[in-house]
Amino acid sequence: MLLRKLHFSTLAIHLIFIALSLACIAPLLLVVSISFTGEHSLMLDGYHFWPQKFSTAAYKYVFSGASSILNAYGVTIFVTAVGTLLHLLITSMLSYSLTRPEVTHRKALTFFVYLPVLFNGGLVPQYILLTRILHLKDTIWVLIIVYLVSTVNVLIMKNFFRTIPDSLIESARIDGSGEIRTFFRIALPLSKPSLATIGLFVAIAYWNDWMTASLYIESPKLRPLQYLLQSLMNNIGYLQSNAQASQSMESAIGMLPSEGARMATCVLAIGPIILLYPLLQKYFEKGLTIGAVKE
Amino acid sequence: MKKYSAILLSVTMLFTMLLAGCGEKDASSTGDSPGKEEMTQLNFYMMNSPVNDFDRVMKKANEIIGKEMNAKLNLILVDSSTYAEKMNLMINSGDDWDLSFTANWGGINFFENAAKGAYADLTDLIPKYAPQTYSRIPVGLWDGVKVNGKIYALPNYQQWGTAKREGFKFRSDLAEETGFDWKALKGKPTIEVLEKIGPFLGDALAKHKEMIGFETSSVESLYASNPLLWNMEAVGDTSIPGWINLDNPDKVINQFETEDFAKYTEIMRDWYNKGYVRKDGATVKDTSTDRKAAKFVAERTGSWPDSIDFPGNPDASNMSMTKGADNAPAVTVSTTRTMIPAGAASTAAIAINADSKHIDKALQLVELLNTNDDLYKLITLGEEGVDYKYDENGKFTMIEGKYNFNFNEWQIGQSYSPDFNRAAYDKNKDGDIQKKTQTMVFDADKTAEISPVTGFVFDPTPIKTQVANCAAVASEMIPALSSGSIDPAKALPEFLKRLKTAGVDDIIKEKQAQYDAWKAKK
Amino acid sequence: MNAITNSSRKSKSYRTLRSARRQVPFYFMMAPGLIFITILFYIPMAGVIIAFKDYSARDGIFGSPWMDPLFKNFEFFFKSDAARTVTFNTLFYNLLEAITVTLCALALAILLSEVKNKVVSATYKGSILLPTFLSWIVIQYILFSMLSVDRGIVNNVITGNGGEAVYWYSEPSYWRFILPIAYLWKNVGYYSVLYVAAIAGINPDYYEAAQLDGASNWQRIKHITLPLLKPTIIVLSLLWVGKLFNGGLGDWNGFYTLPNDSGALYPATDVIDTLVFRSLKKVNDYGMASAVGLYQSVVGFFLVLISNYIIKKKDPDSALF
Repeated sequence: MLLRKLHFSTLAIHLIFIALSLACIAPLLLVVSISFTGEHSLMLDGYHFWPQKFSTAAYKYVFSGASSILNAYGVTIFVTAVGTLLHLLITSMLSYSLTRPEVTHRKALTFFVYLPVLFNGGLVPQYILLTRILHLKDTIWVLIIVYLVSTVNVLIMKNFFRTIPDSLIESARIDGSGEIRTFFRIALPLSKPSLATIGLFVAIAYWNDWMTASLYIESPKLRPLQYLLQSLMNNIGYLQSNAQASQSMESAIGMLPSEGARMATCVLAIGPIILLYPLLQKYFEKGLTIGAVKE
Repeated sequence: MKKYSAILLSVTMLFTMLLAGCGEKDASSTGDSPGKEEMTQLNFYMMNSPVNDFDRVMKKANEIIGKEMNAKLNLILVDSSTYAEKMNLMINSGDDWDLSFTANWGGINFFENAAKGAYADLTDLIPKYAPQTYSRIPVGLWDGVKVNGKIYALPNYQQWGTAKREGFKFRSDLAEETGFDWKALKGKPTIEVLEKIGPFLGDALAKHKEMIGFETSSVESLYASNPLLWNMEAVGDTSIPGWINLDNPDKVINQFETEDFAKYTEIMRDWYNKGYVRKDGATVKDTSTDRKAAKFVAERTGSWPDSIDFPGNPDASNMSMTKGADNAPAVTVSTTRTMIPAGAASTAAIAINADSKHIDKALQLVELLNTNDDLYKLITLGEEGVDYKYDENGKFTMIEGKYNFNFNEWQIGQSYSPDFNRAAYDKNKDGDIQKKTQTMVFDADKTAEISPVTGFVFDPTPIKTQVANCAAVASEMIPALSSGSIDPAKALPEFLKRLKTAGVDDIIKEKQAQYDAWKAKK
Repeated sequence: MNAITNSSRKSKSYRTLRSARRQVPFYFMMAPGLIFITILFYIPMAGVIIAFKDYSARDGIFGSPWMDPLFKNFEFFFKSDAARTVTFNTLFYNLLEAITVTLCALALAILLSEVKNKVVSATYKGSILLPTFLSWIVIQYILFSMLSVDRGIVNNVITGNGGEAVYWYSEPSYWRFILPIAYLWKNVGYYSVLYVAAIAGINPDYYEAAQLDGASNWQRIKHITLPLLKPTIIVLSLLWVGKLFNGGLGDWNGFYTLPNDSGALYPATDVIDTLVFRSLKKVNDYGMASAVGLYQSVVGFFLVLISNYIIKKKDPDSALF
């Protein structure tokens, strides 16, 4: 009896998740399908989960329009990797310290950290700061610095660090470990799942950011992937509305693959970052093995 | 505690220095290169997507520029979706730039920025440094880039001219099939034209059920976006209420309170009910799919000369976006007067930073771009044989994957030239016809009437609140009224009432006052 | 007497000194974060005064003249006839989003922790995370390819079965459902993974003890998991309370892109930020934009202070500050 009940509830859980997974994956399949469908077929047959008329014209168009795409991947990967690591380091040190009872002004400091969530001066002061004061315009660092600290992540991570038992840190101290060493040797390893979670979201933010590049980057060689693809997409719209341009383009490549190319850019943009999740998976799983640390 | 705050302070300083340090280094490395002395670098911002092989062509271009005027052009391409924002930020933060593409649309705010003093006053400098640029352009256009009597930009006069004449385009095969006398529409008022088009659409659709009678979309309203079609002209921004009737050019009116607008919305409602327009016309943003599928029986057109004045005009012989397919032959007829609108000159122009250290050099660069045909063609088309070629029929063909300026030549100079040497013309009959059309256009530019509003700049500052709120109401209601998806008997009074609440009368009053003051001074 | 006070003063100052010295390493660790927050967020914060200024680039932020009257930049939003509608919409969607996202994410996280097979659980997590990777523009394309009147998948199915095509982009009432579902779809993965990480941080000893006591699944969830997740739930809720007057709890782009500029939908889809953005596109006025932003911030600020005060009374540990 008990067994059957248990069985039923596990089955229900699996059914729920299978349905949810489908609801999340299917729209992406649609994107992939459209990117591989011929423009003419999209016009006449509409959108389908399976290409009615298979075509790679959209991808050809994207690659021929943006020969610098490999360079752009390089910029994006560099920014994402360096930015995420620095972000995690800065955020975890800050939020850990904010949980320590030794820090007498931690409440006031938390308030200091929180306030920018509500108030911000808008784009003009930020632009003046980054270009005129810090002189970061048209450097790769500007892409990194804008997401270097997120006060929201500090507050979330603070909660994770709070679950570390005081006794662990106290015993490390008795063993003569310095505070900074304790943090790196004990607190950080214990927080792998939360670091992986926050890290994943920070990485997505870096990866998807094209606004910063379009405002602060001017040299073609520093352009990240999302900027390049976004710009390519805007260009298709412009070429389409420009009679002279669309005629010349169409005589060159047949029909401008506008909708297909739009989806192809999506596929190219999200493709690599999706692989990040399986890579980080083992850190999600590990969880807390407090016993192991104690011994 | 002092000690620790001292530590904190020094760490802060360290970080700031670190940041500033790495910034500075990069800034200096992009600045003037040490080898050549006195070579001026000019930063020119324009709207463009990434361009393949950009460095190769710019290097060639800079060889010419370096030789001719000892300067280096640093052309900076900004994505179109953020160009306006970026330039406004640069201007508003006092950032460093020399030249930039400017316009009166898309939030680029030519007039506002000129009035604020962001752009250099070029009135006296142009005849000195850019005489040919000055003399080539019809005089009326220079009035269009003036603010308080001073010239703040150099209009990019284009191969397709600037005078405007609106009209309509029809499927010629269907006109023939139903015996529609499109020629009779020439020069007629738009309401009359629409009343005549209606029955034709009915006949054509009866025979071709899969087609759509007339193009409607959420982006363009036949009324609100096309003052000339209604014998009117916008005073200031087209989308802000306050137009004048060209037959009574002294009085600013609310264009939505006219009899024409009421009739227009009724006609569209009628077409909607009869199924001549898309049922979701008010919400469709992109009509290119329908255009490419050759679905439209009729559409608005701005291109001219029409099929009566110049039979065989290639721009008039196909419905839009169907040139390659050849399955949608068309005829056009123009119905309005020929006029250079007030906004024509500021549609595409180049401005120079008032704080630039090289205003004279920047002007010389504009002159060079406008007079050195090889340089202009190099930047806008690339190198012949490498980036483009003429095929065996003499047709201009771009080579795939090579340099492609994305047809943005209109942002960096005048593509007009009396000897047709600044743009890509086919070396065959098509090219000859194109040149012939353009000759007609240029001649008309010289004789076309100039909008009575030309040179007037509306300053919205005193009524910004009202403008913002009217803009919000208009963007919500106009697409629905213009596509027939709501009943004007109920919706039009509501729309007018909401505009009133939003303060439309204050706008009209303010526009009238500024307009009167400007005319008195003139 | 004298000696005692002397020694107690001495020990007190000694204690302060010792406590101060113990703080040093923590301040070292906090320094980079605090410095960057100061530079990146606090310095530009001076820009909020643009809300009271007749801003012009030539004069700069501080040099520009003050508005006359001082609150003139605020006028446009409060005078707008849509102000009431969009304020209602903002609150409506925010509350709905906060509640649905929290409940669904908690439920999914707890269910996920019940899935014992690691590969299967990783696959589920990976799938529900997918929408988080997408930008609103991409989601708009996807939505459009499903809801387009003549080419969309949904209408294909409807007309294929002999039904009438539905004009999704013309009927505001549908969007009261579509928008919350879209936000839920995009965000629920993120928050459930966040909660999963929080659950992973719970000491397994607690569960073992509960098992020994013969606690049922539900009892374990109720008495161990939920109480231990409470701080995280409270922090997230407090963050949202501060953003209650910002469309999409701060992420308003969905409200702007998904309706595809369809004016007919605005009564149901406009939130404060989208209305302001659209109105000011024509005027391009930094002063008016920051005025509305400041209004949203101040309201959020007071809401947070009040909520934090209440939480502090009931459960001092969970309070934000």
